[in-house]
This record gives sequence, C-alpha cells and structure tokens, in this order.
Amino acid sequence: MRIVLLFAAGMSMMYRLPAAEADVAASFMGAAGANSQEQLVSRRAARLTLVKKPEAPPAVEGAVFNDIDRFIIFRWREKKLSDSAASDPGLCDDSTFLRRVYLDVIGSVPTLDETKRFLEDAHGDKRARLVDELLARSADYAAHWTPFWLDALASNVATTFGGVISRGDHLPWVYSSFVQNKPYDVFVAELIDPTMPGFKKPGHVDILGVRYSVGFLRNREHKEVLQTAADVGQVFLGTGMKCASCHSHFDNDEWPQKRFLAFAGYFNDKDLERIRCEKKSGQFVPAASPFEQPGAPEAAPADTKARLHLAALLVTDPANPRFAKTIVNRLWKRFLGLGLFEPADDFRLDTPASHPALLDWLAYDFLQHGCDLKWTMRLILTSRTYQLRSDPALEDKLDTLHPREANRWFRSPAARRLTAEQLLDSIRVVRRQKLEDARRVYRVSEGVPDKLNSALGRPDIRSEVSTGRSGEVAVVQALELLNGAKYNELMNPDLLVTLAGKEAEPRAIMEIVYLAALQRKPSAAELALGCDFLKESTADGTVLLREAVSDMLWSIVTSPAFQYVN
Amino acid sequence: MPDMKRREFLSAGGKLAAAWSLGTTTAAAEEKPVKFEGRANAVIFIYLPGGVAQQDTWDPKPFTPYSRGMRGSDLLATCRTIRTAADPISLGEGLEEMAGFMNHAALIRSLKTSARFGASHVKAQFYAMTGYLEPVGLKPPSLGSIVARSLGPRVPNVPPYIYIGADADPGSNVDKQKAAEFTGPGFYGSDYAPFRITDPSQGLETLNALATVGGKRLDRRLAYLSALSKAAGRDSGAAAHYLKVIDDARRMMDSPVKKAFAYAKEESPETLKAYEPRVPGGSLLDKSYNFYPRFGHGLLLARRLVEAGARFVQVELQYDPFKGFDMHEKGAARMTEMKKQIDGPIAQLLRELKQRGLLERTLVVIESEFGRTIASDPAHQIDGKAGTEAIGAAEEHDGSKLVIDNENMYGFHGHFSTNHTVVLLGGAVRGGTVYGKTADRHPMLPVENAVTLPDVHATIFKALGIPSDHSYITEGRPFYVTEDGEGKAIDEVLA
Repeated sequence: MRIVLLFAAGMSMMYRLPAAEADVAASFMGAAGANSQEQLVSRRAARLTLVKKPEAPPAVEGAVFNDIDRFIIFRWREKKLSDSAASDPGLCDDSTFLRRVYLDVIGSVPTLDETKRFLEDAHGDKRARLVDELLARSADYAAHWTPFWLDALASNVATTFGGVISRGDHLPWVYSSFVQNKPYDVFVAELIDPTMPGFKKPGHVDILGVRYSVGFLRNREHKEVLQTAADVGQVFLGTGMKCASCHSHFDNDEWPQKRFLAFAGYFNDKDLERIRCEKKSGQFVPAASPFEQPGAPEAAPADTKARLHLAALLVTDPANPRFAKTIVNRLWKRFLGLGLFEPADDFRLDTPASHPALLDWLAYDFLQHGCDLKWTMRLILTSRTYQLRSDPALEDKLDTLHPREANRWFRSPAARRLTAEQLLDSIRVVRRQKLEDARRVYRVSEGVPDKLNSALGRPDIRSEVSTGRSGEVAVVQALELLNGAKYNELMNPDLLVTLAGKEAEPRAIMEIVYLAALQRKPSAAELALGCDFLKESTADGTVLLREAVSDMLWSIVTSPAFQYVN
Repeated sequence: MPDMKRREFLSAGGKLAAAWSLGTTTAAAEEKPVKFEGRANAVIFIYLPGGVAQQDTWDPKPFTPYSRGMRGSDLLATCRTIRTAADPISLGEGLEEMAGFMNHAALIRSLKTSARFGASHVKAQFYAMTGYLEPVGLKPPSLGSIVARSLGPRVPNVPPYIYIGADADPGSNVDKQKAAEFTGPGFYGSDYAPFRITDPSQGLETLNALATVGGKRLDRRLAYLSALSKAAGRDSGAAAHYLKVIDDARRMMDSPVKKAFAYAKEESPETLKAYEPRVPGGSLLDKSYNFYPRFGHGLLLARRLVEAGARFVQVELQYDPFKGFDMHEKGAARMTEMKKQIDGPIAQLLRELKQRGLLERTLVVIESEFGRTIASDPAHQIDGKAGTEAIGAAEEHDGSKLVIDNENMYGFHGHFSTNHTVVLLGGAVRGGTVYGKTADRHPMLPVENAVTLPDVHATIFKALGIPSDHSYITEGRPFYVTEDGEGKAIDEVLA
C-alpha cells in the first residue's frame, strides 16, 4: 500500500491507494456516464474508503457534551488558557440558548408560547430535544438557509442587469433542496452536472412572454468560463483562485495560472487556451483536477456535458481535500461567528486552521454520514462549545494583521448581527404575527430593491457570489432604523397590548414585551425603567398608551440585545 | 445617580436634546485637535482607481495611431495632445473641459514608487490611500482619517471625513473588505471613520424624523434605548460600536449636511446635467461599468458638503477589476470613453467651486493607485514556467518585444507601479505648474525631480497646515502621518 501525502501543512489528508488502480478509477467514474443520486451515494461510500481516517478526538478532562468539545478543550489546555480564572466560561442560560438556537436554525426568535414552554421545561435533555425539534421544522429551516445560498450562488430574479446576464433565480430549487434535506453533494452536483436528474437551469419569462433560461454555470465565452470556475472554487472548495485567471496568483504560490486553467477547462467544451494580456498563446492546458484525486481520469472528454459531469464528480469527491472541509467550516462559522479556517472563502496552505484536527474530523464525519448537513449542524449545536456563555472579553477576534497565527479558541461565541431576514422575521414574531413560510422576508421582497432591506445588509442585486454579509453598521443604515417609514411601520404593538389584558398595566406590558422580544423577564431595574417610560410618555396625554408601547417596542428591537445574537 | 440620569432621559423638557447622546463619548470628543492652519481648509479627493494611463491624460506623449503589427515601443499615446488654460500644461485629448481650469492646477508628473505591485491593484491602493506599504504591522489610517483627526470638523456636527461611492456592504469579497479597511480609520478607531454614502442619488430622506413619530418621541425612544442597553449590562465591542453609530445617526439629523443631500430638488436640471457624463450609459463598451450618474452626482454632493462645512470628502469612481480605468483590452477606445465620463463632471465641480469662491480654500486632488505602461510580451514566460510574470516585469521594459497585431491590444495594458501623475487644484496650489518630467520612450521613468508618495502626501498636508511629521501614539510609539515623518512637501507646487 502506498501512502500519498498531499500538500505539506494545513491539508493533511492522506490517501491509501489500493493495489488495483482500476478499481479506484471505477470507484471514481461509477457504472455509467451519467450521474444520479443513487450513483452518487454508492460512489461516495466507495471513495470514502480511500480517505484516511482522521485522528480520534483527544481525551480531555472537563465537561464535554460531544467529541467537538474534546478538540476545543484540548487546545485550551495545550495553550494553557486554563491558567486564567475565567478558563471555563460556563454555559449560557436557557433564555440565551433558546434565542441563539432559534435564530441559528430557523432564523427567527421563538414565539411567546414556545419561550414559556422551553423555560418551564425541567428536563435535563431539553436543549438537545429543542435542537432536534427545530431541525425537523423543514420549512422554517429551509427558509433560514435559503438567503445564504441565494447570496452564495448570486441568484437573481432578473435575468440581466447592466447588460450582463445573471445566473438566474435559484430560490425554488434551493428552498426545496433544504426542505428535503438533500445530501449536500447531491445539491452541489445538481448545480453543476447536467446528467443529474435534478439538474435544471432556472427559467424566466420576461414581460413579452419570452422565456429565458440562465444557470449558475455560465460558459458562453472564455471569461465566463473562468468566472464560473472561480465561483465554484470559492463557494464549494473554499479556495480563492480568481487571481490566477489571467496570470499566476501573485499572492498565493499554490495557484499558478496553469493549475487554475486546468480546473476551469472542465467548465468549457474543450481545453482552455492560455490567454495573457488579450493575446492568445496557442498553448492549451489539458483539463485536470487541481488536487490529487486518485482514479480521476487523465483526459477530459470532448463535450461540455461530459466535462461538467466530470467536474461535479471531482468537486464532490470525498477524496477532494477541500469539498467537505469547506462546508463544515461554513456551518461552524455560521454558528460560532468565526471559521476554523479564515477567510472561509480562501483556504490556503500557508494559513493554518485554528483546529486542523477538528476540521479533519468534522469533514470525515460529515462524509461518513451521507453529507447530511443536519447531522453536522446537530453535532455543533449540541456541543458544549456552542452553548458557552457569551463573554465579550473571551470573544475571538479575527486578527487580520497576523492571519497565519489562527489564534481562535472558541471560549465565547462572537456577537453576530442579525441578517435582514432574521431581524425582520423576528420582529413579526415578537408582534405575534404568524411566521408563515410564504410571508417570510427572503420570499416577499425578493428582487425588489428596498431601502430597509439594503440598510440591513441584504443585497439588492447579487452580481457576484458572496458567502457572508459583513454585519457592519454605518450611519446611513442606522438612519433607516431611526427614520425609515418601513421599519417604523413594523412597530405595531396591538396584539401585545391585547395580551396584557383590559387593564394594560405597565408592569404586565413590560413583562410580555421582554419575554416576547428577549425571551426573558425584565430585571427589577429594567422593569422600573420601562414602567417609568410608559407612564411618563403618556403623562401629558398627547401620546396614547398604544403609541408609547410602540415606542418601547422600537427601543427594544433596535437595541443591541435584539439586533445581535449572543 | 442612575436614577437621576433616568429622569433626565425621560423628562420631556429641554434636557432631552442632550439626552439622546447614548453615552458613548469617546476620544473624538475629548481629544482637542492641535490648531493647524493652512491655505486650504477643505479637501475634495477625487479617486480614480484602476490605474489611469498618464500618457493619455495628465502626462501626454506623442500620439502614435494604430497600425497593425506595430511594436509596443512605438506606442506612446493613443490620443493627441491638447493645450490648456495654462501654457506649461498640456493634456491628453478628451479632457477639453478640464483644460480650461489648468491655471489653477499643479501636475506632479514624477511620482516615483519603488514598490512593485504587479497586477495587485489592492496593494497599490492600500499604499495610495494610507502612504504605507503592506505589511505595516498595524492598521494605518487613510488620508481622510488623518485629516479628520488632525483638523477636526470644520463645522460642528458635520462629519470631517465623508466617503462617496464605495459599496456599503462588501459581502465576503476580500478585496472590497480590504478597500473598506484602507479607506477607513485604521488604528485611529471608529471615531475617525468615514461617513459613507454609497449612491448620492438615493438621497437621505431619513435625516428627518418621520411625521408619524416626530422628533420628541424619537428622542424619547433613543433615550430609553440607551438606558435599557445600559441596564442590560455586558457590552460587547460590536454592541458598543452599534450604539455609537445610532448616536452618530441622531447627531447627523441636526447637521447642516442635511441640506446638502437635497441636491436633486434644489439644483436646476441644467446643473444636474452638467455633472453627468458626456456619454450615454447605454452606449458604453463596458456595459457593466455603468455607474451613471453616481460619480458626477457624487462630485456635486461633495461641493454641497464642502459648502455645508465638510473637511475631507472623497469621491470614488467605483473600482471593479478589469473595468473602468483598469483597461486590459480595447485600451484606446475605452480610454476615450472614460474621459467622457470624468472630464465634464470634474470640470463642472471646478467651475462651481470657482464661481462660489470655494476654490480658494478647497484643495482638489485627483489620484489613481498607479499609472500604466505598455504590456510586455503578453505570452511571457519566466524560467520556463508558462504564464508567470515576475512582479514588476512590466516596469522596466521598452515594449519592443510586443507586437500589436489587433486593435484590442492597442492601449496601455501594463500596470505601472513606478510612476504616475498626481493632480492638485485650487486652494494653496500654484496654478499652471508642471513639476517633474518623465521620459518620452518606454519605460517612461521620471527623469527630473522624482518625488515619493510620502512627499505628495506631505504636500497635501502642508496645504492644510499639517506637518508631515505629525504623529499619534499607538502601541507605545508615534505613528506619523507620512512614513517615519519623512515626507517632504513639494513647495514648488504650493502657492
């Protein structure tokens, strides 16, 4: 048995090459020239046998909910973080967990009833049960993940903008994929591989009734092919290759132009010619995987469909060293605020992951469990690491000045600003409106540029793929919260006031509003503050109680406690 | 005391005006800027990213028309040279409107940089905006933040550094995130961050309280928001920053900048038109590079903001790789088009600044991150490795290896770190001045009076009265406004 060590640092995935190379090749291509979910699944299993098992989770002392915690605590100990008094930050309280996990799984805060039920539940396993319950709410779960993938695929309702053809509207397909919890490799293959039964280019009918069909893959001309390959590299392989499209990457030696063009060749109908400075070189670069993937065919077929099929096999291959790692890292970053490797779109050999062993382990575990996104999510959400108390002093910060050091410890989740979708859907829940899927934000104003949504960071037009929004807040955007008509119209408190009963005592109102918005009771000081606010607002008779409660609602949902997940 | 505070927040009386302050008063309010006084007291910084070919614009060379098979070494400029209002200054054809204002301009044609950026626009832009080469070891502030901190606001409540035309949210685009960083405050912190306007034509209605809410209720809401956030305790960095931005937003409502944003209503259609490009958006070769009329209206807004008391306004022609001035094909045709996009609007800005007597004390700067040169042999190979080009390979060659065999290749494709021109106009500038000279053959290196970027920055600072060795302490050491405090102002271009 030979051991092939691929790339030195950072990407320590090893392959065992069985003696019969033909078997390996067969395991790669599958039985027929076409793909299907069944073939993909059986190929996945066969190919996984080529991947070296990761190291077992280290043994550690201390509170551990699952194996993830072992890797995390091991690094604390290794770095002697345990010496400081605050070494174990402790678990967050139930209210915090409830809010965090709702926002992370279904993208909104819980209803009043859900909050009460969870807080009153005295069973020790209630957190794990809640995770399962939320993951099982398929429609809500899909609604929360759809916007992420619309950004990542640069999905647009319009077929063109500024004369440039867009990549089509992927909303229905993304949404239904997540409702079904489609295996992730199948999801990716359906986007790339025309031989997959689920492959479909989004269609669009313009006002004259003309039907257009535009897809994520654009390959009508050289530049589009390169862009498509770079997008696939960025989104699915977490690798920034675009710089290498017209010259060798000037900042990352891993990417000579040739390596990139070889990869990009799979998205074209034939091998790509090296073009530098608009001048054709006459040299064609044979299509080849940028990674060493045993059994991958050496030559590429001569038609686009077959090439794209091959591209999908190469990208989703368990032996591809970046496919599984990229997605588990994205899930990690979504839930903990920062990735195990950063930037999550630019995995580089010279920039180590903060926990390489955990990354290996999570990726392998994900492949072993059928590329089931919910499986890995459940694992992260039920880890103790995810459930730690938020402590600003312990929060990791991305050290952009020293990217090679990867000093991230995950002793406290990072405060994450709610996305436009999370915030606006949550406000509706607070006001006791039903969270019906069809009315959720990602759907209702899709394609309609709207100042409030833009101010909250939702792109009007997705002209390029993007796997994260910055969460930065600036003055112009803040003004939209202060004085924007649309945001202010949301502050209707009628159903909350009704709930407080006929008397509508300030105290009763306060308790309801806090529980609805922040999933907890107000402290004595908060109660006094809020009751005074209501009394004094209405004291001179010019402001009605309803208006004062609306003001209160505005203040609470506009405060950092509501605008961030902690 | 907390109780007192609360009463104060909640009273509907005169104290409310102070009460909306969310208690995030920081260094900005406490630090008194040193009193600096220069000939100019405001800056409009026109940023044209992408790498403007100096041969076709500010440092024109002899026109060599396209002929199939010509050598790169023969291509000196893709357009004719025109005369301007100041005899010593000539410009590339297509800048006729701006030419009329060259008696107010000084052109520094000999900015020489020894760093080799290759094709990395972002690294060059980082340098152009901060005056420091990466890696610095800390985050250096941008020019705008340096001026904002050193001089403070000109008029209270008017943000001293306003940035028009960059994306509000760079998403996960690493280059755009980087751009937000190097046009930002660096280690100075968010007190000196720019007030960013993405698209001026969107207006800013939200500077007024909603009629249905009213100012009084808004202030009460904000006071309560502040009080409840304090009562909730534990402050993460992100939350503190968020509260400060909310606070800044409320301040902005009392600011004179409010009026500046109403330009679409207050300016005549003729004026608006005069700020628009002289080429219809739909006819652009590069249809996806159509930010019409965002750039021109940005300049108009900049003029109004300076009138309202802004200190440093930067207007960016949006940068996208391979678009705009980053010309990699059809260089000549695209240059003609780009000049049509900038010449009229910039000239209109100068015209209005002059008419309103603002040009006297407003320094206008036009800059790009580097210049351009003729491409080297496009199918370049080094050490047998196909497709590699040593960084800086384009800097020293004469273009004789390049055969221009189609019109798409006719133009200045190479990135030229070594040299470009900086244009200064207006306040404190000795009009009609050309400083420095470049060679007439490729590589067009500076042959007289070469200066460095720190020298250029020192010149801008001197116009404003800021010494080039002014510094702020960080990590226990002084960090200077020009590298190591060594920039030398070019007195020849200052009045």
